Amino acid sequence: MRTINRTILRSIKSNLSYYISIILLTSLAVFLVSVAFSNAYMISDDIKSIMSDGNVESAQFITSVPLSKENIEKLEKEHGVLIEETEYLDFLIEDKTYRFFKPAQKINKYQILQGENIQNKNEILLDRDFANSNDIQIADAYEIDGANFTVVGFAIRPDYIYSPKNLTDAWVDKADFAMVQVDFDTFEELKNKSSYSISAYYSVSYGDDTDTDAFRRCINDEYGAYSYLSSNSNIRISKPLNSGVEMLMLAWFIGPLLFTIILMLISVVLGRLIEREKKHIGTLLSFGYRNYEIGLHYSIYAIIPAIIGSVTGVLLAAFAGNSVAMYLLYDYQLINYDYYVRTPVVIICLIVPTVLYGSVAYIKTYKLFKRNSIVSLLTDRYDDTKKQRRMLESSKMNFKRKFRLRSLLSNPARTLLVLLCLFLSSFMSLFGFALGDTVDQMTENGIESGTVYKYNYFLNQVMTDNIFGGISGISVSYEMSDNGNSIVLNGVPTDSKFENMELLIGEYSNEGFYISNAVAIERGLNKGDKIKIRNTVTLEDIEIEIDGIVNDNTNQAVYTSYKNVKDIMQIKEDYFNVIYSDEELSIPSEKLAYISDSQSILDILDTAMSALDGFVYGLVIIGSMLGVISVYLIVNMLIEENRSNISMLKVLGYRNREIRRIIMNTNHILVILGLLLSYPLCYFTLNILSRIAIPYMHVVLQPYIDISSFALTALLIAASYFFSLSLLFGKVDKIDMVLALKGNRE
Amino acid sequence: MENMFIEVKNAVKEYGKGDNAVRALDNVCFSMEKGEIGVILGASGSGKSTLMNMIGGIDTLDSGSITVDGVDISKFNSKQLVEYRRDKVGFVFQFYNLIPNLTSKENIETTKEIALNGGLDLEKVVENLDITPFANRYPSELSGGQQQRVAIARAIVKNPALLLCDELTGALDSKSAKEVLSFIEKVNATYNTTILIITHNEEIRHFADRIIRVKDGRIVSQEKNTNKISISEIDL
Ligand SMILES: Nc1ncnc2c1ncn2[C@@H]1O[C@H](COP(=O)(O)OP(=O)(O)O)[C@@H](O)[C@H]1O
Ligand SMILES: [Mg+2]
Repeated sequence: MRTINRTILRSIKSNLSYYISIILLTSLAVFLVSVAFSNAYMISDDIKSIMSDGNVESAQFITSVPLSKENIEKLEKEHGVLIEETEYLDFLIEDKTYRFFKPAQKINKYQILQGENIQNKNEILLDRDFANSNDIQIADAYEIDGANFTVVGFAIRPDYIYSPKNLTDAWVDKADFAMVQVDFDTFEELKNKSSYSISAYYSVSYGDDTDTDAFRRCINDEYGAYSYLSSNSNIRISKPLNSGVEMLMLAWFIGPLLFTIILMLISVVLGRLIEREKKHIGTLLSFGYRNYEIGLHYSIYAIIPAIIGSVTGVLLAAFAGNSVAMYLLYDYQLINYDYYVRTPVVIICLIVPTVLYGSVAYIKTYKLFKRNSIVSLLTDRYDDTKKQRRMLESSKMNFKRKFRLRSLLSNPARTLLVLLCLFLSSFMSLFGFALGDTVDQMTENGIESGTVYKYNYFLNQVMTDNIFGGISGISVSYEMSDNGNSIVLNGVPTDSKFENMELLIGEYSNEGFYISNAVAIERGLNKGDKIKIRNTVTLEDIEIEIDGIVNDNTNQAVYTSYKNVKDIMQIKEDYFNVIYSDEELSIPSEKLAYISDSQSILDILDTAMSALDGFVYGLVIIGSMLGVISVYLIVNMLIEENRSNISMLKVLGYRNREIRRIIMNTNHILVILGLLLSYPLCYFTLNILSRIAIPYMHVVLQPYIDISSFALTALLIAASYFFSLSLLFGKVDKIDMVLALKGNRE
Repeated sequence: MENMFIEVKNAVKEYGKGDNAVRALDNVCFSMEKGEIGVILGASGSGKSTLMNMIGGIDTLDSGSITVDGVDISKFNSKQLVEYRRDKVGFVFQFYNLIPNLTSKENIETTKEIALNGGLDLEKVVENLDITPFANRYPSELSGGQQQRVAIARAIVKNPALLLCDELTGALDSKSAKEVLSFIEKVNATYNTTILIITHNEEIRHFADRIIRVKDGRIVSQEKNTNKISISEIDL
């Protein structure tokens, strides 16, 4: 065996492109999979540990009756919970907002990432991202509002790992939003300054056997709860926790896909090698070699690139994966991530490709033994023509075209593989671009439908007299009774532009209830259906019958008249907490929860798009790589197969360009086919994906592919296709004419 | 020696380097007139094929010159050689070298397509060479003689001024060999094609105008055949 295994080394030399391609693809697949898994592990280890060490809140709520120390102790005892008031001060100067937190004792305790804890007054801890973006080092003096502080370290609160300034913000601005930890005395001092706006709510952390409904009912009944937000609905907490899942989904999608393609490539390439070495195999068998010995010999051809590829991939993941992982976590605060490739990931990544590739090769040889006797192996000459599809013999078609068609049909497995790779390559690029188009489209539609008025001012309190102008309405937070997903009940003013809201189904009337399209699609609801929603504060259920569907794909909302909401809430006075206006109004910031206007939605588009950029480019790059490598490998194989034909054409006086055209243009049709297939399938996939995504994102993505994206994909695919062909031009040109005459030299 | 169609002067070709160097052509001089049939005889490894490859422009000399139809091809670069082969030369080989996934007729089309001035009428060539019965069959379905006829058809359909045949009957039985050679004779008569044939078979020399003997890369004799007879009268 040792002697025949020596041929493997020689085969590496002569099949270098096969080895390089398989190694490249394997290391790419292993790299992606191990980074994704390591990242997911890292998130669950590092983010979760910050959250559990800091005892992150289970929910936050506000009551109309403040809770006394005794009240809190009583609640904690009765319900097995921890409660603490979370208090912070916002100081705004120029573009920057400094948020000073009251030091927490029980819940949402900050964790020090670097440096020392606060020892003295005037010492502060900053969040690391703000410090990095503003070039602040530990031990630096830092002035805020005339007061001089010393930065003694960097810290993170467990409820602020994802840190939008407002809960409704769709983006984070790390450079302009500082999270400042101070000692208790400093906090109390700052609190008295008029330039600082105070916010406060109660944070609660549930015990293992807390009856949460009972607790919520209790705070409402006894203390008049005004709002309640569970950590599941709090993006600052839920988003970082879910990011690991996204990573794993990506790995589970890309990993199997790439490995399937690699296995097919191995099967096609090795299949040809084994077919060509039939006689050699027959000879070995006749000498008494056992089937499995020969099977193992050929598995080595597959195992070598498997091992080199996976080791490279794992090494890359270990040494370069960190930056990819950090890039994927860009939205979150830079905590002390400990990125390393976990041992189980290493073991799986090293073993799985080796076993898979080796088995494919082994099975390939085994099939050969099954189909042939030793005698037939010995006498069968390797003959490409045997497999050639007999067709078009008497057709008038040009011989070049026939040549290409026959070579496509003579090896259907290979042709399908090229088609698959070219399709995937188009698909990935197009999908990447289409994702952008879809988000683009959604946001544009969102602007039209989500904003009946240009400016929507959401107040942080209810009022009775509107002294600010605009039209007032009410917006109450609800959740779906069955699964607890948030939904907003909007009481819109009569005689306003809301009466002309764009309805997809139904007619607008003041009595009616209308759900946003986002809700309708997520839950498969239609006009006439009934839904049960629960007030998040009072936990009272109401059932409403749907009279129509509003063209609003971004909000989970019910729209009805102001009067209906007043009736439901059983309020007598004309309370309001939203002001709608087409002109900008000046409302003091301490009264505002947030503003939603067209501009801020455009900002969301920007950030949503830039967040997608990495993903899109990633897909485009992987797609192009796949295209380039697979085309290179297959066309290389075509050239190998046609060596003697090429050399004969040269003898006949064909120019190199003409020969390239005959041999290498074979796959042009597949490029076009792959591209054309990618369009409907991309559309289809986006459709399915948007349906899958609805329950997570609560937003309806309408699949949309812009013509320019398709054109760009076509351009990219053509470019990468011709690029890999051009790599092989030299190979065709170099084929020696003497090759054709070998038989003639005696 | 003026107005020779082929004129080889002091041709030298060495393969390999140092101790392994083989001098395949050693100061070869040789010439042929237009319309002649030449036969090259010699033992295996004597340099026959090398000489023919040089004349056909598929390999280049180390030194010396080859003039064909008044043009010195030994100074040609590879691009010029392509054009030379394309316009002037037809090749026939011992092992046919047909393209396996093209039928007989399609194999012939491969040269018809690049022929200067369109070449000969393909249908007529097919008919003359008795290829019609297997025109739509693939090389692997044909006998050696049939394949060689297709190979000849492929070589002559572009009506080359020079037809080079390397051991074209080497793999054939005597009956097929005779058939094939009679086509060669016919081609020579019909189109005044200059033809150079490499062979082992001494008998073949009788139908040639010129007989060249090669040994160890050198021409040992070069004579005009004064008793030329038709191939049909030769017993192979
Ligand atoms: N491409 C080549 N590389 C190395 N040696 C060659 C090559 N072509 C021919 N030779 C050597 O040159 C000599 C002449 O070969 P060739 O012309 O094929 O002989 P013939 O056709 O008379 O049998 C032989 O020794 C052969 O081994
Ligand atoms: Mg020879």
